[in-house]
Amino acid sequence: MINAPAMRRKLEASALYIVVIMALVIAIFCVTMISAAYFYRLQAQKKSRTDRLENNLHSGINLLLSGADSVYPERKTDLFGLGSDSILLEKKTWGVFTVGIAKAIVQKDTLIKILMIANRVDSAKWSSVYLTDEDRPLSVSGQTDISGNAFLPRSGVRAAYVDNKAYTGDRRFVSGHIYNSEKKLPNLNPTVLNRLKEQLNTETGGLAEFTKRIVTRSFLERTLVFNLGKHADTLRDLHLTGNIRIHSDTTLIIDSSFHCQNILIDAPSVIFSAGFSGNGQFFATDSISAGQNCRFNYPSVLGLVRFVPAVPNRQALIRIGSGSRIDGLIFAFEQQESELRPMIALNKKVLLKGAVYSPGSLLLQDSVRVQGSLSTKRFLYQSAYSTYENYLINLSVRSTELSRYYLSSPLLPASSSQQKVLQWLENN
Amino acid sequence: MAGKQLNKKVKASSILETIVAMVIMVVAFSTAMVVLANVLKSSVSVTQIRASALLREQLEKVATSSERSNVSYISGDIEVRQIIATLDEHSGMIRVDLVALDRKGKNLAELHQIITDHAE
Repeated sequence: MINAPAMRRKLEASALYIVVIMALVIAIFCVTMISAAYFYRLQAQKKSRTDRLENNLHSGINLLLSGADSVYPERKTDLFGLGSDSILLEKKTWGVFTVGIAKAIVQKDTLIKILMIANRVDSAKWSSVYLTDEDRPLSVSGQTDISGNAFLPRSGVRAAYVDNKAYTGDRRFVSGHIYNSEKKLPNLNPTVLNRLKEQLNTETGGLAEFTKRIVTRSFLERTLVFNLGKHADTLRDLHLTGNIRIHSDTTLIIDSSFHCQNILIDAPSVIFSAGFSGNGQFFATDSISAGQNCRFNYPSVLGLVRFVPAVPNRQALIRIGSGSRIDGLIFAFEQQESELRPMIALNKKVLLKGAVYSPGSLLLQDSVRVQGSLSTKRFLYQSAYSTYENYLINLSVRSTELSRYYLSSPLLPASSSQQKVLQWLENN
Repeated sequence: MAGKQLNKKVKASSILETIVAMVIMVVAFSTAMVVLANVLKSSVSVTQIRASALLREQLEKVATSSERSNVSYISGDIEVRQIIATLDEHSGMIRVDLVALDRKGKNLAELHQIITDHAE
């Protein structure tokens, strides 16, 4: 029903008012459209720039991984010869690996990626066991299992009865091809050793103590050096990550409460407390000792390096406690061979995923499992009563079980020239 | 009773008011049309997005195959041109230049990248 008083009111056409309101509505619509178009265009341009930066960064990373394994300071590269796509590339030594830095810049936008570079293994040289030829055979006993190619003395492999254990493994002894080994281990890469020597001999200076419990240092900055000097120190309750080097002139004890990632430590002796877990490169001139159930995450490096002759009659030693796990590389190197050659000892139930290179002796206790490669001049086995040379007892060495993505340091003679990304360190 | 009320005279707008209103309407609508046309014209078209995707797909193919020839093919309305060049200063690397063109030869998208040469 129509409301009578409302109908009685005077109704005006007011065309101009209505038109002004409609014009306002249209104006708001126009402003919305323009704003939407502006932001859409802005985002489209941003996406286009990001795509271009990512393309350039990808190209830069490919250039970092190409060619010979070398290090160089930051240099500008014009990617496509157009002058508009430049990238800054840098490669620097980080222990036995290389750190690559790629920076793609377009106008005010920059994309940065930092990566650690390592090499693929050379399948022709990679072996489960490389034992130098000292004119005596390799003896195996118990549940010893060798899978993968092996470089062994010409006198071959034989079964042995040791500690009341007969050989119960595969009748072929080695599940893989057996090649004749040389009298000497293949040499470590001298270029990588020289770079490592240069880095470890760099004037350290640096900070004498830790002022913060958590320290993270970017590889874009200069290496943060902690020089602990001759003061015997225990590292505990610290979280260190990245471009950090700890140098000590005496024994350094690393507690299980110490956490590290990708850092570099060098000292005459390094002792890891039982239960330590971390990732890094640890170098010593005299000894490295890890307690029980330590865990060295991939890609870790434990290295005995003597660039200067050592004190006579002091044997360099790496000892890994029982139940420990190492994902990476253990090696020893002496510039001048000493009388007492370095020894690497893996205690019971150690699991190694990677490689061991020992130009001296390699002591393997019962139930050691290796997914990777062992290279040594001499194997040792120690029972309660005696020491056996070139005997492998209850040892499992399976080079075939190593991950196909495993990358090795170019230091090892079995590494190929093909470089790959070992790990992504930083990006923005 | 209601019918009587409705039959009363209603005051209309003047001719001047109507003309001004019409002018404003025409100006407002034509401005809106121009703005709309410009917005649609300047935005990234679906064809350009499709062209970029096509180039990325082609780059993936080049990266994974050992075929190293310069090719040109048409996919729908888009022509893709591929040029591969070896890099003298970086052995084992190649430069891939990809360009997408529409039927009139207008450049829709470009993609350049240096990749590892798997054919080596």
